[in-house]
Amino acid sequence: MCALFGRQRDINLFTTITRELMGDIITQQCAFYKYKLEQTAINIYGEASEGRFFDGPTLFNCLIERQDQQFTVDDFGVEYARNVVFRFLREDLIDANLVPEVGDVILYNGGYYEVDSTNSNQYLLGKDPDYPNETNPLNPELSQFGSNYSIICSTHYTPADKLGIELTRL
Amino acid sequence: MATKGRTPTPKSQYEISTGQAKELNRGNKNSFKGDTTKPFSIEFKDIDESIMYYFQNVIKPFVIQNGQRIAVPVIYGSPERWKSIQRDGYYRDKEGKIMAPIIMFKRNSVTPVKGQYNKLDANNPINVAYFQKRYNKQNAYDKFNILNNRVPINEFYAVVVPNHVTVSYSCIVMTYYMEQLNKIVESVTYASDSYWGNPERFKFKANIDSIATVTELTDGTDRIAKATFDISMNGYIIPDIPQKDLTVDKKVFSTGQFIVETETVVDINGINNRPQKSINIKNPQNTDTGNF
Repeated sequence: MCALFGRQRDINLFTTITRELMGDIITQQCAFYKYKLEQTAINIYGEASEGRFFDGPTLFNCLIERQDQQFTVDDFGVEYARNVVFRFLREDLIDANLVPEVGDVILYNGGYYEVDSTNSNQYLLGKDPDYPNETNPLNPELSQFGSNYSIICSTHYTPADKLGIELTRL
Repeated sequence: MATKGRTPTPKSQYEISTGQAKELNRGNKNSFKGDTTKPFSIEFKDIDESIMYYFQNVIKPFVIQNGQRIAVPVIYGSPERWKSIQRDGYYRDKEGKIMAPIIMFKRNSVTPVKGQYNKLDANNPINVAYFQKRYNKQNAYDKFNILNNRVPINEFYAVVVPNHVTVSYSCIVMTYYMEQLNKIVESVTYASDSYWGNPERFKFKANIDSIATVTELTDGTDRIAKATFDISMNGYIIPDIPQKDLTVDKKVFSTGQFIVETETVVDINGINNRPQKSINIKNPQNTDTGNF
């Protein structure tokens, strides 16, 4: 006896439809910059003050949840802030051999966003096939059911001159 | 009516304060017309500007960021919104976010310093100091005047003694990296206990006691290294108000010298044949060879 729904065939159907939907209909895109850890030197304070190096950019179709721009006021004057949530199809990330992590940078609409958190919490049929629990003899082949479907990155806006990707200051 | 055609003269501020009418000596009233020396005043703005000047022209803080040397902008705190966004674009990116590094300072408090000399009474300021105006084109001190024993008249300006105050400022230095912050804090510490300001204007002694350095890493914001410290300026103010000019004359001249020499002739008819050299009654033997 095994699970009835959510076999790999169903997952492939969902993935195909999702890719078509994101790539041809929604068509929201962003570019992902991944840190090159070996080349980015850090100092005693744990900061890359002499510059940083990135892999990429890698272009992805994704769902983007934009929050409003915020203009707060403090002693320095009016400050700008914006949070954006990027939702990636996990299969796309696997194809690109890219694992989003906290601190990575996403380029969207000319602005750079630093990843605050990554959530991999959307399981199709509530099951992650990486943990099949196959020790249960009554329910074999569970590794072929369910899917860990997406990775959601919550980000905040970061000024480009800090990253050094493009020349911002005149 | 007895008062017909006569307008009552309103009481002056001096008369109101002292109850006595002040005798007016028009000879002491010198006009400021055409005078380039303006009535003297030192305001809080001058003290504020001295800090700005010192940061921008003496300390000249800078950081190295992404291999580029960046001069650290210095701003006065809490500017107007339009100025902050529309005019101060040089330290903002294209979305309007403030780019570090940046230095902000603003005035917090003003404490009068007691125990120093003072003007005695604000309503009747009599403790004044005089400073002399330099010779100028109209009142020249040149070799021709020296040869003719002609000393130009000195112009003096009376200024009421100032009020001494301790002005306290809070200053925040914001950078992306602690390494950048270190450089700026070092330069500020080195400049403490010295006189800040434009040498061609006013300089005030600045004291910095302690500097707090923190690294802020909060949710949803960039990591920022900050240093906060207080600058205590030993300043003085002479406000631009009419009371300071009430008692003394603002502009006076040194005594001019007018020498009348006595000359005599025996024969009035021979006046045309008199010797050309006059007799100096102060030195009739003319023993001073340097005197013409």
